[in-house]
Amino acid sequence: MILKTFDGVKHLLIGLGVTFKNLFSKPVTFSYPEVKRIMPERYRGRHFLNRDENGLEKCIGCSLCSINCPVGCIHVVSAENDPDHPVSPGERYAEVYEINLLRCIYCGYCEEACPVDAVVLREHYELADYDRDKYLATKGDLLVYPEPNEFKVNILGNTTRV
Amino acid sequence: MLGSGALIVMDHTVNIVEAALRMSYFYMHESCGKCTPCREGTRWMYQILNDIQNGKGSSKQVEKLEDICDNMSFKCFCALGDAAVAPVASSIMHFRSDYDELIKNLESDEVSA
Amino acid sequence: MSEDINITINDQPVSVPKGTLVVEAAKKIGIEIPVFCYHEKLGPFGCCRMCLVEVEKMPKLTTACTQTVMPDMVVKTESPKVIKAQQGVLEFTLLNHPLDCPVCDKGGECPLQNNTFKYGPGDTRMEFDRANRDKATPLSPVITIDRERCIACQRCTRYSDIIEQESALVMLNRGFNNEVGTFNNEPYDTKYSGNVIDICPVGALTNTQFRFKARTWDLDNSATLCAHCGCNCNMTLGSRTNKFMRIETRPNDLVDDGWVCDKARFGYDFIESDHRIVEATNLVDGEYKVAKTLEIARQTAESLKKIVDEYGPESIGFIGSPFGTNEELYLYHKLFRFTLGTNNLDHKIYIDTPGLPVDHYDFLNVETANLVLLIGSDPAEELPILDLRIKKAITRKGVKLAILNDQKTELDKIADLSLMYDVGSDEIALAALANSLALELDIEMVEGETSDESLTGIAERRMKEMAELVRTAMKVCVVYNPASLTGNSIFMLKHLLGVINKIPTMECGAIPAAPFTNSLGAMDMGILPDYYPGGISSSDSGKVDQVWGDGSSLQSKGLSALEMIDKAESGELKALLVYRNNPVIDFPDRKRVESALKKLSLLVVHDMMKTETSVLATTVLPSNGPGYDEGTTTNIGGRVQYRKRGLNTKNSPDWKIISKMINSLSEKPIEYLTSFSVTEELSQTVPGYSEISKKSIKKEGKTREKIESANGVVPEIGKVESSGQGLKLRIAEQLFAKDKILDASSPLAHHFLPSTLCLHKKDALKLDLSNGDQAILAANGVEVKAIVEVSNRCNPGAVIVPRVSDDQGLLRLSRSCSVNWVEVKKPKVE
Repeated sequence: MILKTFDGVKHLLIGLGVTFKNLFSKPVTFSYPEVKRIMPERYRGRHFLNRDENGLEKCIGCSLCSINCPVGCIHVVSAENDPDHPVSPGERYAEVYEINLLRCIYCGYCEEACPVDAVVLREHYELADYDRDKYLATKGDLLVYPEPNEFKVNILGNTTRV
Repeated sequence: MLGSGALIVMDHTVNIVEAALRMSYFYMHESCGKCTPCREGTRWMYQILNDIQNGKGSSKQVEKLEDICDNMSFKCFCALGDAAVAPVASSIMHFRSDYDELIKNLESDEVSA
Repeated sequence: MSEDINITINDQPVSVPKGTLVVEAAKKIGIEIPVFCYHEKLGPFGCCRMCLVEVEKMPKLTTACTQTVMPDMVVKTESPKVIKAQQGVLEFTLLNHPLDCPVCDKGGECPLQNNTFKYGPGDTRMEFDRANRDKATPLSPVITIDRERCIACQRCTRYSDIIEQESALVMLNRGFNNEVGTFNNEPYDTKYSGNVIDICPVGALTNTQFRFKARTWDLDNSATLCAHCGCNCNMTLGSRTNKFMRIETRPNDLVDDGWVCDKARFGYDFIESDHRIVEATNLVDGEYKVAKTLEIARQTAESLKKIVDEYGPESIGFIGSPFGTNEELYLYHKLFRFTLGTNNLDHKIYIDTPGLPVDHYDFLNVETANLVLLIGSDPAEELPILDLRIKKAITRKGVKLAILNDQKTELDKIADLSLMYDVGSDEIALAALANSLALELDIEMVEGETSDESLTGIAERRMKEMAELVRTAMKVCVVYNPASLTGNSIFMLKHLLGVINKIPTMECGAIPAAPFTNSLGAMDMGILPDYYPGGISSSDSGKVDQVWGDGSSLQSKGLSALEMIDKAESGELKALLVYRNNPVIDFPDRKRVESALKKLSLLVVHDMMKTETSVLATTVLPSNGPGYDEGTTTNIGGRVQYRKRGLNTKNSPDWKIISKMINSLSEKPIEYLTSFSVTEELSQTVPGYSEISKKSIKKEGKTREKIESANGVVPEIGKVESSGQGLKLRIAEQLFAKDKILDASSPLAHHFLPSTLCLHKKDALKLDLSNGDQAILAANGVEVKAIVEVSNRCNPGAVIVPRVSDDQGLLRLSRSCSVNWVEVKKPKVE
């Protein structure tokens, strides 16, 4: 009987111990709209298209992202570069690059498939909107970062941004 | 044996790697370009030998050279490819020490660095 | 080739005919040996060394693409030695290949990619910079070469040498620096140049039109047919989001042998042309009003019926097209013969009759014959793929070639005997050949003088040589072009065929090589004034009633296309429906045709492009045409194939429009669901087509049964029109002519020639004209400018003018489909 009571109190104290411990620790929640969460380095949020150090689009319009996309949400139409006014460093560039963000499952396969590290999924996670049409991300929406993104491949073979 | 079916006599002052380089240059220049191993292989062999001769080689490159020789021999359309292999392969077989000497300096540099 | 040889490949036994290559034997039992330079149509070469295999008792590895099978051979394709060799060779091949696969147009369908994945070493040990060569360099306006990607397999140069036999593409330089190019850097613009794009195993030779437009896996490919000439080559039309992308070959050994001409590959701009007729319009008070297509079709049918009721069925006519599909033409035949009750149907200006007194040969027979006899045909300009087939037969199969023509053609170079008759004397020339054969056979001969050299320009001795060549051949394949024969010569030709067939132990067949997509189908579908479908003569009312039901035969004799124009001129013909034909340009004497068409109270033009005729029409109906339409066509070899739709369109298909016309007039309407419903119906009613069905024509098509020709009597030689001033005019076909199909914006525009006339030396001397002079052709009060080319392309007394464009207006110079005379003169000096 005494043993049982002792056991109960012990477990009660263990449980309360957690409570008291957290009473003095920093809260894990935060007031969201004012404070934004810093996402992990390899978080797969909204897509963006990169530029290289010369300001040219990295995308060469190879459509490998679109063929790798498990839901088929990427549409690429490529065209030949004008050598005098190149859009991308290669012979070809993407004339049309559209991602249907509603259909996208954010798996990151496009990023994996891209041979020139042009398309990336970045830390942007606020994707809610009132207008369905806005979910069709065109080249203008995707090429918003003017600075080039640097990448490194870590020991596991994963690409991460520097 | 060095050379294509012939015996070439050289005295001990001759740099064997340089001789192999000169001969592989000859075969690169002489290749007609019809079959792949000869067209690409002779040039690659020349490039590697050139590196070794200029002190940029490594023992890995010599092994690679041996493998290229193996990939080329008896796989070309005519005998020129086989002949191109002969001086390089036999020079490695018989005068490996000459190659090692040229490479040694570089590798010791690497180890110390 | 009766002997079969047993060999073992990877422990699997296989039995193949003597002379088979190991790589083909392996293919037979499903073992793949990787290749780059080997192509089954180009034969063994052995330069890429990719197909190395181990053969027991052979000291070193051997190339499977050059090694023929030998009795009891034991081949290993997967031994460690072979795998090492394959990896080694691939490493060499990729050593200086740029690896720009993401940008390369070949990516996704590249043999180099595929072989590297399957057999490659997986990594490269190349530590030097890859060699840089010229990137995109135009080889011709339609082909771009990327020399960096070339692996020097020499498929293209061998193609140029063996298949098209122009030797235009060659390997330049030696050793590591060798590259594909042309002599003196001239453009590579032969008629068949586009095929090198398909056979290139890497992305070195690319289609300039298709460059960087789409990735190959994004394309919707439809297995369709070319609609330019009578060969009906098989091809794949690739499209993306309903936009035309490219044409590729779809090998069918029974038709095209795996090649298509440049017109087929690059001449498909018209399917997205602005000149297409896309909506039905009706002329109301001098203004064209757009309306619903099927509604206008109904109105058209009703107005035709009204005219029939008022003026009788002879007052309407139909000018069809040798470019329509069998289904469309069959429905038009039904509409005009059975619904409207007229025999006024035609599709051509020359005279031709369905059926042959001999076998109907196809393309394969060209190769298996002993002698090919070309009559009046210029395959290089009219039927390019037949030209390739003949070249193959002559140079590689040991077939002899005899040519009887009124002009020099490209094939004369390789012909055993080539005779040139005077322009317009084809009937006598054919009779002379028939008579010299008949003389030996002791059968009925054509009456009249035929052997005189002054009549045909061919010496009797030479004609005897030709007869001897024909007589001694065991199997003769006659290729004739009915469109190039004048007047009634076609009957003489059929008589000649009959005579050849009577030679003992002779196998004889013919290919009626009219240079239009479906002229055989048009004749089979009864778009003729005097023949019902299947070559049943309209005078044979018993047979007609038997096939089509009682009361189907019509009493009146139909009018031919030219007669219809005559009657329209005289006001007897009130209404005309022109289906995908352009009488204003393609019929003789434009002025008269135009005035005749203007006199009609109803001119319906059902066409896919705006033409000079559609401008005059009171009603215009849109036709979908190649690329958008579907249906079967019959090629010159009698093979019925299915032309699949390549692109989608909102417009009603032609068969729907025509069946709407029929249904709005008949009491028992028949609704067709697809074009195959029409095919099914015509297979039941058209003699010769009984075995044609959706299933039977699926892949390679099916040869329709031979149609017998009426057993004719020995024809008489018609009167020779010796009267006439100036020179006899011969209009020659030109493959790349600037017409409605290939317009100025076409990628093939560089092939267009200026207006030229070819004169014999004697005539040029007489007229005081020399090479390069400007001259004028005058007849009918019309003048056509042309540049003089003095050559021996024709006999004296004639002028050959290639038809280089629609604007040239050559047919304005002629009056009929027999001999026409023109004056050649110097332009007036101002």
